Amino acid sequence: MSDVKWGMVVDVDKCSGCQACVIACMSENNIPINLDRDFTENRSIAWIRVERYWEGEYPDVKARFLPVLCQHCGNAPCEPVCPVYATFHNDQGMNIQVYNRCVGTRYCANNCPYHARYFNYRRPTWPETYNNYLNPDVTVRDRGIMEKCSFCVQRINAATRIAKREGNEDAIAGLQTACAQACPTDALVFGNLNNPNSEVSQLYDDERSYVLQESIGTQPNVRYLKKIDEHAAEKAHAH
Amino acid sequence: MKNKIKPLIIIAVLLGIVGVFVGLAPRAVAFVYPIPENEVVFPHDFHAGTLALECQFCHTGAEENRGANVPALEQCMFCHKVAGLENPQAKEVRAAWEAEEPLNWVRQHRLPDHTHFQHEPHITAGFECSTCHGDVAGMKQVVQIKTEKGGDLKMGDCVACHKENGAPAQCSTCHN
Repeated sequence: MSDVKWGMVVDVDKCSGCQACVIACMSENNIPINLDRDFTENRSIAWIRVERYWEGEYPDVKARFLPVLCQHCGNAPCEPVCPVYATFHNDQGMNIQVYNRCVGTRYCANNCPYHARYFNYRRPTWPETYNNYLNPDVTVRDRGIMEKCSFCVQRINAATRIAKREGNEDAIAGLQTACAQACPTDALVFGNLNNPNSEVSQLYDDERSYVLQESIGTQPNVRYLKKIDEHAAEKAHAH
Repeated sequence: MKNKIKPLIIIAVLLGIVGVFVGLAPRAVAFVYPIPENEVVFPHDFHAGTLALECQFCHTGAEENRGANVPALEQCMFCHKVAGLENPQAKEVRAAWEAEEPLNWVRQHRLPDHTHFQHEPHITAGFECSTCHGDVAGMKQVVQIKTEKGGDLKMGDCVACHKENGAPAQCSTCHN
């Protein structure tokens, strides 16, 4: 399995900011429901979030959307600062968070340039009717634990098991994270970067491809495809 | 006289209040061991030993699912509609079936928090149930087996076996 390297491409041109990925991720990964106070205290948890940027002046305004998740950096700033080795890099290019080891120092979140790590300031609670809706394959993180996007590692593990049992790689080839599966415009594409035929590895080297905060040198496994602005040429001409 | 009795009464009342709260306080929970026995004793030694039933005849999930499953009452009634009619324990099972109330089996094997064990890959890889569960066919009441050093099975035992057999042994294999 070490010939696999998981990665994702986010096509910003296709993203309509609908937040389906956020909801899909929350229900897949047992993320607690954020209440008003979580937002006002800046303690809300969302492993993938759609950042919104306003451009221009009223009435000529545009909203730009940018889905941000853990970039699974090849040179991750969060990893060396963990005193208990609770976050590490595995042989499939993923940045793994180990809840058992985490002691809640929050160094990793402070060192993450993408703000992709979230700390459980409270014990997560759900309405009682939600008890049977939680995903049994994912741990419910308790208070004092750091958490972040896992690239749906439970799905990767399950697909690996199925592939091994059935003796073919179909399950791995068809693997999708919850966010990529939910995306109505296919703006999120997940897959194996080491497979030259996979959609993600073809998009990875697209001419529109760029990396968030490239100057830091984190070498993420998540790349973004630039938005094509049809009015950009006009604007440039006007100036 | 009255002056002497008054403080005594106050102390008695206070002690009474404290007593009530101590009585109502939740009992200290004994962690994991010893596990309470089942109300209806399921004789594994008879079913798996004398009758030599396959484990997966009742624990149907082991080959395909994460859990091996504590069988539903329906699975018991597969045989007990006609078998063991005179047996007092089997009678309890039938009574529960007729009353349409599930039996409250007590689970003997529990995983620690943040740990996900999958039966399916282990069974598919050809391991015997007894590798981890011990000689269930010889146990009247199932108990967890001890390692050679006398302790319970721990993560070290999982990791040692995984490394021995070339199975993935990174954290995210079981902890996610």
